[in-house]
Amino acid sequence: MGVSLTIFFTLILCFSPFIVDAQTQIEGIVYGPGKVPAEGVSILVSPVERKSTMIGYSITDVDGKYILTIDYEADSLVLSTRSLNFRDTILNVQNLSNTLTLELKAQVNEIREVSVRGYPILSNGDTLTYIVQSFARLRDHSIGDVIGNMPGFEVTPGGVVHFQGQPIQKYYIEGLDLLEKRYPIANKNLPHGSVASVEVLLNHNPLRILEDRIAPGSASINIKLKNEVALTGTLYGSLGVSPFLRNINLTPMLFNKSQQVVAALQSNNTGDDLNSQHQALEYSGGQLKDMGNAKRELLSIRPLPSPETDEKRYLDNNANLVTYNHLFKLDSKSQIRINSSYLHDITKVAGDVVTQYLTEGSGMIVRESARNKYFTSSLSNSIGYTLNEKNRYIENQFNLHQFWDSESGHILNPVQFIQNAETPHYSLANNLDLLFTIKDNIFQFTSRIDLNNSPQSLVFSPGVFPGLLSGGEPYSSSRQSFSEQNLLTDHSLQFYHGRKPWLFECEPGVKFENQQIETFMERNGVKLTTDTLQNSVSWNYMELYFKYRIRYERQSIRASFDLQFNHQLYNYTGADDKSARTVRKTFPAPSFRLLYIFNSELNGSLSARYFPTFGSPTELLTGYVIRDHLLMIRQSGIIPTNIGVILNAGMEYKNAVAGLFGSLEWTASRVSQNVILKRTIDENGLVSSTGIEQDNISLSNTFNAKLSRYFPRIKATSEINGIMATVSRDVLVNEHLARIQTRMLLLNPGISFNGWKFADVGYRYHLELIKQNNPATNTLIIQQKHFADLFLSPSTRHLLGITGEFYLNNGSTGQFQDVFFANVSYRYKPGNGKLRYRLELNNIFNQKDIVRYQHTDISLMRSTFYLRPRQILATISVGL
Amino acid sequence: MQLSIYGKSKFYDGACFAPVFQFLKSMKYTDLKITLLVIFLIVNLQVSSQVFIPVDKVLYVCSYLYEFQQDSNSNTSLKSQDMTLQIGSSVSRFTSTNNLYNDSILMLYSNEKPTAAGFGKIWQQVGGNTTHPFCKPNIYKNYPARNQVLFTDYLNREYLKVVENPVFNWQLKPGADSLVSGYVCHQATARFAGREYLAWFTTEIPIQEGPYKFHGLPGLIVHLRDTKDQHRFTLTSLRKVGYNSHIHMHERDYRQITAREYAKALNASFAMLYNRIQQENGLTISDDEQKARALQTTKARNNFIEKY
Repeated sequence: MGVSLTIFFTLILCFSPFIVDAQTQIEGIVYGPGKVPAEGVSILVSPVERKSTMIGYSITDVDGKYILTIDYEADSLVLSTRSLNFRDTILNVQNLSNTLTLELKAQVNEIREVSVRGYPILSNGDTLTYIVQSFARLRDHSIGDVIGNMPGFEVTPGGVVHFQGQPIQKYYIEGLDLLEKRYPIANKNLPHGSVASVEVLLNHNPLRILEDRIAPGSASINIKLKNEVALTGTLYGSLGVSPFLRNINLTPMLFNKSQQVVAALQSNNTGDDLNSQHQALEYSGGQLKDMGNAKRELLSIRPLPSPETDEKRYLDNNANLVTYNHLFKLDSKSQIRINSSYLHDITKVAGDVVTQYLTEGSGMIVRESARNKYFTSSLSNSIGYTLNEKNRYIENQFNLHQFWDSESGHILNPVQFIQNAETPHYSLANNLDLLFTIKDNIFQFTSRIDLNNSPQSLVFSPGVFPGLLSGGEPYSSSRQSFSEQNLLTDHSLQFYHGRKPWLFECEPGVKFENQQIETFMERNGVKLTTDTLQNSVSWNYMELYFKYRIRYERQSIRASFDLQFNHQLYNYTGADDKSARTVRKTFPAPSFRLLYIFNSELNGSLSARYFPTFGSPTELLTGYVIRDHLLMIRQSGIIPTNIGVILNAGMEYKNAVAGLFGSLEWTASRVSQNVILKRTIDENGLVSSTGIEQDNISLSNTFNAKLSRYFPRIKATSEINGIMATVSRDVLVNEHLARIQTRMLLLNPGISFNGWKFADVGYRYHLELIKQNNPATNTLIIQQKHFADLFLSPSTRHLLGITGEFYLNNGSTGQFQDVFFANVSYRYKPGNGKLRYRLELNNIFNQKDIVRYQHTDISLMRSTFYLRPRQILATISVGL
Repeated sequence: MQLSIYGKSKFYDGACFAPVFQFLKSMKYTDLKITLLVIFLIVNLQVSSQVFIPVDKVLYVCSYLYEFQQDSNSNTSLKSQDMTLQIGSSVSRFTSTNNLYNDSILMLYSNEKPTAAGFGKIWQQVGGNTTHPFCKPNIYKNYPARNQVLFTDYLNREYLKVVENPVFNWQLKPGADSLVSGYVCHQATARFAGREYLAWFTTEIPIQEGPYKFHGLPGLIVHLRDTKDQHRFTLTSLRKVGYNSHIHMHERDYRQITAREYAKALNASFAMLYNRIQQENGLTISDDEQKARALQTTKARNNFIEKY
């Protein structure tokens, strides 16, 4: 009995810490000098490891008494006092119920006065508000111009808005998402005078059903209009010489509580690219990834690399755009959106290219001059319905895209070639997202259906690759035909379960692709029937996948672990093998991400990803395809496997009140591939590439730092952005396997000052330093740009602007170019009227061309790009 | 398009108001709001000879932007008003900034006789300072006694007061630190008068004060909103008061009621006004559109901060 009792009490003692309530009560009296009870003193309790976090508090009463009740498991705690009339006191105490008397010394604590309205960035919990008028410069017209000048923001030339280095998730105007990823049209045409503020929604989930359950990946912005604004937009017309120039922009916008409309009729030949206002932002590089509706560029004439300068300096266009976007708000939860846009454009590009091959024993140099013309005619339509409720979300979008594009080119040197490409593309797609709740669990059904047809062709005159196609005899014309039809579908059912901090998601899904690819060549109008010169691939692809994700989200930690199992089934028929082949692959694709929020200003993230990817049907084209007059490619016929590992670590700092935003990011990747392109370059610079099975590895390391600071007193925004990267990969040229390493440094500091009413000044610098170690030789490219501008406004009626750009471009070829550009403009605004007059003179020194150096795996290219001549333009605009 | 207030009201029958009525007759009233302001001024002028009692010296003045959805059924019915919190060594007063301004003008002319000329002087300075009915009340904390909150308003032609001892059971949300209005803030939640609130307070200002009746956190409340985001207070400025300024209390013949009764009376006053406009009882509205708008406005005011 005695033994049993001993064991019982021992167990009680052992487990007592777990049995007793963890609550601690500390009470006592706080005195001031002379043992006078101190009233109204705040007693704060924090954990030892995080003094900024408060876990308990009390306020002393008239007798100086306080009682603290703390529910926190720790050995000791930090106790501090705050008051207006006594010195702040901090002490470490044991986390035990106790009585604690404090004596405070007298001290009058000054309180910092604030006037939040006077500060242009307001931070309010999860929302940062930028007061637009504080950041608007004299020269700015659109809200996009002003956003680009706000600390923490960046607007790319294509119109993508980045906040803290990440593309924004949503671009709302008055809380409504009219334009989705077509938002550049609003960003470029909504006058900043109509906008009161730009709100950055840091913790906003666009789907109300997922609010408070899943933290969003990136920030969204909301454009808050001034109260009285309903009709706004851009309205101007310009005429100029030489040659005859026009720029007409009629973009009215209507915003009210039940509907929003953005319509546009724009036409110009002054170098304003209208494509970014026509295409949704998913369109990039013609890739068919992510089931997008982008155009598939199967064939094209040999392009000239674009120079690294403002597009308006060189773009010789003739563009017409008609677009109409309408959002009807059916009620507070549902809306219908219609977007329709037609673009017609003819762009001329002219320049010279010197290609120096860097392969062992080669050192060959090829010189060419090219005059290219691109005809774009494209219609893009979409209609969407969204229902966004707390327990249900429905979004369906139907898209129809048609491209009737063609290209023509004239290569002047050393042999004259005429090349013409027809690159039409037709796409029909439907995307459905359905989210609903069953007993507090969320289900998401996703459906993507995409139908594409791309019958494309490329014609050369005289015929190319005579050695392969006509036994070495010259011939008059060759034609490469390439057509692709496909049906792509992806259906999945995602299931969310759990409450914060834990959330479990699983998503079984099935992808199905059916693709037909036909390629063949014609010589002098006669089809060549040799197997190695044609392809016919029929591809059926089925992928069953199962994604599993665990999320852990607390205020300070957000972690997620993804595990994806894919089972892929390929069934294809190739050109060289008429019998169908079936390949099965099963693989896991895990990834991990951790975000730690130190406080409202600082957070750090860490992520790792392992991802196998497999090739597309185009990699089964074992017959040659002519890509351009110098390049023919044929693939290995096996489905390439790439195994990638990516590690990423980053820190992000944002202090809105100090106007200080910064980020640091490091990314490393390793991709191992089982197929390498074996390239053969002949003495005329003709390249034939063949994919062969051989393991090879690509490595990359990138370090990116950004810092931007706003100085409210002098209204100046300064920023610096730096990128350091190293990339190495294997190349196989003329039977030599070599490892190429490229090192790159990009540096972009800049400052903009708009503290005076009568002047704005800005300066930016860009440094690009690229070093490539090739087996034969090492090359170095140094390209520098200086931009400076000055806008003077002696009165509100007059605005005089002077901009200057200075370029210093140097490549290892020893040739060096420095070029200086200047523009001048004058704007007159009579009285309080709505009319504005503007006169501008561009390229004052009539500079003819600009040089750009560029590396490829095997060559160094020096491109000389012809520019728009000196031009004068007169504009009348009307403020809406 | 004239709206006349000369109904059969006992209150306005006094002969002493004849000059004021004469002044009013000389003006054109096209807006119900202005008419209500005039009524308010008449009442205040009538009692302006009464004393404004100083109850504490003002040490700090906080300005808050009060944004609220006046119609619970419409999330577009957003209104906003500037509010002021005067903080003294023990007592604080919270009311509309317009109210404080009007008070200061009335105090300035407290010896002015209620003549048309006198009224004209005041009207010139306060005309246009309309106060939303939800923002009219005065809230005194630690008054008339420690830990008590006094709430006063003029409603349905009588002065009302509510004396209560509200206890906010604030729950801290550790880790939810934010930077609000330039201050590092902690977050706390509490339930009050039918709504759940989120408050961001800063220990950088160790004053246990806040907007409306809210207080009791170990620092000034910088931002406060209910979870449905229908009522929001945001600190817009804080300044020290170096000169001699006082928190004043209007001494009147208040009828004491409970907070619940006040909320009921407020809704009843809107219902009464609605009926009066509809029946044109004591009101002359010549324009149907004006009437429809007045009815709509009155009906929309259904979402007072205290909901019982």
